[in-house]
Amino acid sequence: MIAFSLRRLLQVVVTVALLTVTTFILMHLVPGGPAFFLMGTPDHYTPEHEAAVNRVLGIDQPVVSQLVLWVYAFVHGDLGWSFFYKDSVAHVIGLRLWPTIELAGLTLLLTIGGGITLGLYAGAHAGSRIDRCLSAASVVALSVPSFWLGIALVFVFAVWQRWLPSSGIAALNEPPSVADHVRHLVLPVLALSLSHMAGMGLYVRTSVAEALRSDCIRTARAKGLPGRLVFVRHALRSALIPILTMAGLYVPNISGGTVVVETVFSWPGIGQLMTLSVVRRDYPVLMGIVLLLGVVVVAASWLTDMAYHLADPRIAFN
Amino acid sequence: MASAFAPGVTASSRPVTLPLTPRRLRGMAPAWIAAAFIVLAVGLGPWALRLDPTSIDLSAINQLPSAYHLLGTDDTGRDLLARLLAGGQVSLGVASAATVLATIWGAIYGAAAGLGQPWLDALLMRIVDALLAFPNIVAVLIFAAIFPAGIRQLILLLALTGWMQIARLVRGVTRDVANMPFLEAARSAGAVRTRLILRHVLPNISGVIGVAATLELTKAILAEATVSFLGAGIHPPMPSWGNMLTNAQDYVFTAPWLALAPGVAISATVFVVFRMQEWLHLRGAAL
Repeated sequence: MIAFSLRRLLQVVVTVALLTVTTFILMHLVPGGPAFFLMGTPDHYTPEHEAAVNRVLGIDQPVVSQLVLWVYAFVHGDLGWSFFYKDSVAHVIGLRLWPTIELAGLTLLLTIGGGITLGLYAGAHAGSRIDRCLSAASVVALSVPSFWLGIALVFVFAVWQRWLPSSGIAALNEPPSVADHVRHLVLPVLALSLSHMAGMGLYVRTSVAEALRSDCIRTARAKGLPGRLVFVRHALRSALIPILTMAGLYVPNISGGTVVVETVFSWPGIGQLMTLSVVRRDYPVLMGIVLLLGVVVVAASWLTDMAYHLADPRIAFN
Repeated sequence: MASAFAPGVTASSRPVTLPLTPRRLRGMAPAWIAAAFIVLAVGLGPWALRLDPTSIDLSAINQLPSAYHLLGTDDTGRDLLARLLAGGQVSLGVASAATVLATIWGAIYGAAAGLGQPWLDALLMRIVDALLAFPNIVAVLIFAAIFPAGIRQLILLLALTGWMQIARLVRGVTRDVANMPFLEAARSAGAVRTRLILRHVLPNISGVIGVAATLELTKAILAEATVSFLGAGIHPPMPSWGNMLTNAQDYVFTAPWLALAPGVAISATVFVVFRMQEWLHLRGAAL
């Protein structure tokens, strides 16, 4: 098992390295870049200006030497300097890490918890009226883009009924408190988790319904095992693998979703930083975010693989 | 993104066509009618309405629906209905074109993996796994930051980030079909590779390609809307369902109806395509 983990870890490092290097080369090969955006008003724009800005930023150098510099910065842990902020990329990202972990973590919990609960119920009662309602509602939830759901939630809960704040992470006119923080979290988490929960629920439902139709369930029932035990010991177990796969897949999906929801709710996290950096052409920050996401995504798939083996010992380590 | 959004689709679903009984057709009627309505409205609407979706009228900003502006006006006084219809042409056009490209490439790639040697299959699928792991929206945004904006670029971006799921589904069924006795029979009867693929493999995987393509269409519509909403896809003054919502949040306190029409249009369209996908899937895999 240790050998397997190590081999997977090596694959992980190679994948992340390939991903970042490809992004880096693509970014730096394309002409026309950050200079234009940093100079602001186009009135002052001259080719000499642009060349000067490019020289200061270091993007007039050949791609290879820039890449070497970036790897040097990576090894030193600061990931280079942001074009926009006068600060190291590691620090810029670090400041915004916790809000995103909060948002994505709560969403993941809600997605997995809620999705599994609803899916188990619907799957165990496949074909019933409640199942049909839940499934239809899930497809509707999958059809609604998260940013529009966010705007709709703001309208209902912040504009029409003034229950919750419409954006931001804390009230400006009050001392910081846990209650205030939670109030700010509710709408972004809801906007992000609804569609994921629906997708998860539908998937769990299908897996459970399929497992309940299998031969081993019929045998278990025939030998007189009580219904609840049949469900827990047999149906749940064989549905566990697809459920784990889905949970692993949701990590990248939710990470991508934070980009949108953080922008809608002005949530000061990595996702908002990413949208801002795209507009600003802040390449070093974007590189840092790609690297971070790569690590998160690959770590999630590694954890999923490990969980497979715990859930089903028949899966060989190779 | 959204690799998970596949209600009921599995790689092993075998394409077996069910006869179209009247009951099945009836169950599908609302979705077909809705789809026809959307296509007609978006296709003929701008021509029938005769209002310029880009003409600015600063004396009539953020107006409520009226007899002249049936859905009201936006923050620069442009007619919302005209923008909704023209934006639909842009959004659905971009999404459809991206879906076609992604489907063609994904099907070729998936079939190559499914029919190829085991080492080729392993290599091709590892690449797909690696690409699938990365969040779609992030990839589109990064590319949008690197390359100049435009409709053609956006189509290419959505296709480039959307073909992997199709390749995976097609590879799964191709593998199944490749192991079928009838394929071996055809091979032993002396059928050449082209004939094997065109006459024996393709008809058996076309059902899954259809299901995968409709699923990709839902993702492409949502992705276009999201990217344009974030300001990196279709840029104003050209309307798209996504960028119509970019400013809507700023006006949610004063003119909340601005957000209503584009959001409903996106959600309803995606829902209808989901229903069609579900139906195609049931038709193909119910046996």
